Amino acid sequence: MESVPVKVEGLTRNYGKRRGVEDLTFEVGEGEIFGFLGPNGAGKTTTIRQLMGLMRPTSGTASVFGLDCWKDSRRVKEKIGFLPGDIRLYEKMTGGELLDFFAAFRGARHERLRRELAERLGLDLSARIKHMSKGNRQKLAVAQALMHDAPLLVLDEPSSGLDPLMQVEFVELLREEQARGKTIFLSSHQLPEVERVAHRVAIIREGRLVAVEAVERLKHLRERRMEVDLHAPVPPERFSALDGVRVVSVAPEGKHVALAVRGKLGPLLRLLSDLPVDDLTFAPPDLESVFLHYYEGDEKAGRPSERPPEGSSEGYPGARPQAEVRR
Amino acid sequence: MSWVMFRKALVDLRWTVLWYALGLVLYGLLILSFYPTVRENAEQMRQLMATFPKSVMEAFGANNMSTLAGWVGGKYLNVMWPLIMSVFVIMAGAATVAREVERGTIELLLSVPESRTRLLAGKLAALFAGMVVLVAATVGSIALGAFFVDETLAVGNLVALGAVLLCFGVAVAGYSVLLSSFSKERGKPAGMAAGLTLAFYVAWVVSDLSNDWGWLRNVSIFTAFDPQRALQNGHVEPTHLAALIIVGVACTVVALVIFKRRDAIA
Repeated sequence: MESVPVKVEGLTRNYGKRRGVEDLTFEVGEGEIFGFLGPNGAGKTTTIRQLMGLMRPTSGTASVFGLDCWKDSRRVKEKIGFLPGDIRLYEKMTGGELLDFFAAFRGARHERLRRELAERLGLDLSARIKHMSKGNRQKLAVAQALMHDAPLLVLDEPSSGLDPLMQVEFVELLREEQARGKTIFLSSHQLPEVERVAHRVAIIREGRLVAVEAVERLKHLRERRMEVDLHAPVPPERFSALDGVRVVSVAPEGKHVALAVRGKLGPLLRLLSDLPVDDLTFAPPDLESVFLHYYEGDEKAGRPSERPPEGSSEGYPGARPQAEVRR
Repeated sequence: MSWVMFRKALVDLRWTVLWYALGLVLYGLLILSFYPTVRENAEQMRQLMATFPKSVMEAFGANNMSTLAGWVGGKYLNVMWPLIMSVFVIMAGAATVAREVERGTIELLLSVPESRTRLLAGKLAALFAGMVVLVAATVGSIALGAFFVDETLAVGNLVALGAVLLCFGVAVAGYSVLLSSFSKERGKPAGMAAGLTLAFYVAWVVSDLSNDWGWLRNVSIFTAFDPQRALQNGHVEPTHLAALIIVGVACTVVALVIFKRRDAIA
């Protein structure tokens, strides 16, 4: 279909002995923020390089708005604002010269958008790139990706190198872009980052797609670690009696409990409010716990698998429902 | 050709070209400034040259050194000039693709809505423009130097010289860019192109020293490079120029095809 912003079918890329990606199939709907999640080395950048026509697939296809990413590479790139994972810029240029250079290929300069981006990201465009910090280079590359007003943004680890305040601003920028009808393909190895902004997430590991999930569904699957310090012992059964709460460990005197929490927090918080809690830490969600969810059943059977649960996809505003899952 | 890429590549090369051009001009003027002394002692020079075997003198680019063309050829154009020009062309040619890959800028560069062929063509056009400037500086400095030492050089001879020099640059640029097109770092194609140029030179020298090795003439670009003769009487062998151009253009076409098809990752 012409209107599908990103369509990947059976995409495979081998690097000889090194692992690339194998048999990836998924689609990204129009107006969607699509997270592409996986640990370092999982194959996220390899996939993105094929979307950008930087590498030819060994087999399978990748298309953007109906155009083949390798054969129609030039036209594909007219529709993409791209942020590479490893930011390497022309060191001798100033920030402004770099933006001018990349804008010149597209004819239109989008002056207002460029100025707004520079202001919001706190960019000094007169500084030479060789004198910029890693964070400022990242901001410049973000501005470069967004300034073309392209209908599809392909962002590889976009918040890497940004400080926490700028990460918040960046998430806000992405939401605004999505509200203006942009489709965003966002890769990351950080689950919380993707959860904050994406509608759906494809999870990749060791070159294979584990699942494509709606973010809301994902939140019910992953576990978060909670450590509770108490000034009086509490029987661990009080925690394990709750749905979605697993007791990981209990200190000998029963005053320190480590929990793995999945799903809704309400019942656990109500219990904690009745207990003599001294201190509490609640870790952000991590990717490994999601993988554990998918692998635990098969590990019991003695073999790995990426079989997802039934009904793994939920809707998101403005996007077609889909639930592609590949082995 | 991408004009945006052409402009950027030209800006990137501008200082390098300027310094090389300055060096070539100064060297050319320096060599010519000694010519009056050679002219005054032409007979002794002829006798000195006669003591060496003719083939050895020709192999090292020195013959008829009592004439202006012979002096400039022997001291500058036949050996020193191709050496200087090769360094520029090899470094700039080897950088076209490989340095973008080495520095990791290739991913962002290839994210622009422009074909790889047109992007590389833009860079090659800038390299060609740089070579034209260096050849013009060389020819200009020789014309100026000749004027200062009261010698007259026909415009036709200078044009013929420029054509020979430029075609030599095109040939070297061709294989330098070809080697760059499939490389991941600039050092390797630059080293290989320098080695190849040296091999061509050695083949040409050896082919002149012995009849047994005469066939090597057919595999060296230096056989087609005779700037002294062009300066002497304005004569250029069309087949020689064509051979240099064919080497340059054929290598460039193959480079464009390779760059279009290769993985562009750091």
